[in-house]
Amino acid sequence: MRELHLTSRVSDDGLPGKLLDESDVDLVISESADVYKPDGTLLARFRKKLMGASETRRAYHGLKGAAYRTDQTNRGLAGGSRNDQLNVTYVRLDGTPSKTNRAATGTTSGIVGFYDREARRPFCRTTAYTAKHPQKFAAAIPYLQTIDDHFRELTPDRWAAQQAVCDSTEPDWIIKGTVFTTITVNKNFQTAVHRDNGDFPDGFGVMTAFAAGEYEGFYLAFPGFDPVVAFDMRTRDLLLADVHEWHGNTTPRGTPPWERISLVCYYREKMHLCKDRASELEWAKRRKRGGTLHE
Amino acid sequence: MPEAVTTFEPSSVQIVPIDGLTLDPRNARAHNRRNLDAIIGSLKRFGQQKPIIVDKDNVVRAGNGVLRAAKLLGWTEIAVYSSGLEAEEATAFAVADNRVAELSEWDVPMLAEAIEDASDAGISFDALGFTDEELNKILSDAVPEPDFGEDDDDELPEVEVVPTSTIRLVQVFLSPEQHEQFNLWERKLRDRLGLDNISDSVYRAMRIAAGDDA
Repeated sequence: MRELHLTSRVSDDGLPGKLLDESDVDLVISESADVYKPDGTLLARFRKKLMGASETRRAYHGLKGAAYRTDQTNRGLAGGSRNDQLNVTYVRLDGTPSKTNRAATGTTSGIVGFYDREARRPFCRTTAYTAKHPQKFAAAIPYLQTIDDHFRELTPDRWAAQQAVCDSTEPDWIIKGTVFTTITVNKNFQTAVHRDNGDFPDGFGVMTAFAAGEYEGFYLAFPGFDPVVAFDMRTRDLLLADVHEWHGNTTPRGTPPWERISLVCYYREKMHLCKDRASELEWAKRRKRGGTLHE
Repeated sequence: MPEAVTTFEPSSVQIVPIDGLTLDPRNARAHNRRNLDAIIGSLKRFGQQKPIIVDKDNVVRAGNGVLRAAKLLGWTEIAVYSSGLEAEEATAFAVADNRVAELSEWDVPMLAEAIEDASDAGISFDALGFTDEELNKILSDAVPEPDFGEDDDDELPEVEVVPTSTIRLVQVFLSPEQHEQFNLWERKLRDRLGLDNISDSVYRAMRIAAGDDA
């Protein structure tokens, strides 16, 4: 087990929104490791091949369709055919540009599990993929429960904080046997540098990946520290990290077709405000247009 | 019978009134609504890029779906190629024309790249004849599975399927006049039925109208 202590924080200037490449990274971590911030608090625990093969296989088949490619031209995106954040430049291993992989695999993101009230859908709900494919979702639950077990063992304080808020949340909105309400499924999605929001502030980022085909890069880097470390998260690996620090993926390079699906498991911050399923229906029926989202 | 050689006559391509053409009564290829919608999508986006083929009696031997779609779009003229084929030969050509297209296969990476180009150019999947679901299936099949390693012997627990959301939305499209009237009727209904929201009043009114209200 490797243990690393980062020496200092760096300025935020130029970080938000930046698309990283490997030249931005000082150290790629591809073995189990614990990484600590300069103040001694935990930045990340990374474990290689921690997840079981069978549960991972079943979860892959259950969740891979959640990152669903849709017709971008129907989305009314002004000034371009697709969202800039989804617009990844793919490069082959030999350094030449590749459009085929971007095309063959799509670049997209989806949500599994449950979601809180929003202006357009002012009721707590099961996400579309989960409602449409309940059996596929169920197939992934043993995998998600194992992730939860490891989360509890590896970062007990963070898990306990998340468990506490789950205890005050209607069970309808918790993924059974876990402290997660929601899973974000990203496919070939190079995130620009950002800090997570909308998740539980005292929780931790809990991430896994399914990696197929031949590619390099796509490391999850934390550029707010010196040295800049990045994790090469592959199939069956688990990464627990403080995603409220700046982080983003490096540009991938690969031989098409390849695919990297990542899962981010979290508790949505406002789910504790949701009523049970039946009450959410009654709330939605009676809410005045433009009214408040919560009583 | 001599082996056919190219018989294409550029001068046989012309624009003709659509009403003068007859759909092939012996067309063995059925055009369902989905197929017609795909042709309509293509015609709307790209126009007619190749002529339909008619025999000497102006019966369509290749392009019956295009003709039907053009009529649905309100076109009055269409480009045709008069093949000069007659009787059984014309019918046989119609079968062969459909079958040869059916026998080809997609080169998935090339297809994927073409779709990506189309998408970047703002061309919708509809115009290409694909639904989102079909496209995702094709593209997903092109990627290998991850290497999961050896399966462990652990028996995975059976997990109950979660209930789906209890909320379903229905959209109703109305003209401004209908919308105003709808609101008046709905408020009356609410008062009469003693209900406090539009979802319950509309549902109850439908139930009564359908004779299912016990």
